[in-house]
Amino acid sequence: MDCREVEDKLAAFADGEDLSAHAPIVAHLQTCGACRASPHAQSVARTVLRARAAELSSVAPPGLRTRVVANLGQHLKAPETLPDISWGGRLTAFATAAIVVLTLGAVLLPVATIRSTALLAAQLALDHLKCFTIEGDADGTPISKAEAEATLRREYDLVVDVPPSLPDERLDLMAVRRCLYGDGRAARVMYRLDGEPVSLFVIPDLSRPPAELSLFGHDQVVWTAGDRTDMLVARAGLRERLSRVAPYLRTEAK
Amino acid sequence: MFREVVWLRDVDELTYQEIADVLEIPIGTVMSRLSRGRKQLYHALTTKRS
Repeated sequence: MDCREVEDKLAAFADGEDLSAHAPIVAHLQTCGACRASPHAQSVARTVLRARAAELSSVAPPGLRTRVVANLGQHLKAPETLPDISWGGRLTAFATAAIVVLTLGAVLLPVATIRSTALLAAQLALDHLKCFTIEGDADGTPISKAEAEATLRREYDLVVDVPPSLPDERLDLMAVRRCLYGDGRAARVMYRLDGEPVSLFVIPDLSRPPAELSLFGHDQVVWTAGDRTDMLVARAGLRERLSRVAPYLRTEAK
Repeated sequence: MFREVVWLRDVDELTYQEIADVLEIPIGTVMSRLSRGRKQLYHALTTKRS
């Protein structure tokens, strides 16, 4: 291998890949002082950037953030990938709103957060809309915490501490379902908040930074508790109400 | 050119594949730009200090 070939591989080693498993590269490094110094230099540079990532994330190189968000918009701009079902008009409008709001509203977040949390928010907002539109929330009568937990356990083999209704905030627990996100191990708890549909998604083995978002025509509140991430979703305009009930749900959804 | 890749990897923590998708470049190019960009940064840092 020559220096150019080796150099292209060395970034992975600075990222933690085991160098000893690549004998040709090791052999080259033993004979080439310039290349031998490269992993150390890269590790130092990476360490410096990682140490300051939090403060740097808001001052990306000019144009980069816009470019990334625009590119992400292309990936999400996919009415053709949405289910072709009878209420497709609503979904197309939803997808259009998603692109516009994402492009305009998400530029201040770190890119990794945009990509991971926005993609999660897209899927769950669609799931929320689909669930309340197609399946509805049972017979419109609130159910108890015990009923909800028993249903999740019996029908989906999911064990979740379901937060009960909160009369003071006019938050009614209506139904529970399985959400297909995360191999079907996520639970969706359906509420009505002042009569408006609200979904609480409980997703195991996932960690996301806490955030309040307005994406895809919906408001989302995200938090992580232990090895689980919860996302609260409702149509846009309910942000203040969501923020008021989120602490209660966060405490109760253990 | 190198700075974008380094930034996306080390500040924003995107994977090589995600960077390739975002910048629409091959993953091999991602790795080579990352390698060179980091080395440039290292030299800038050490030169400045010395």
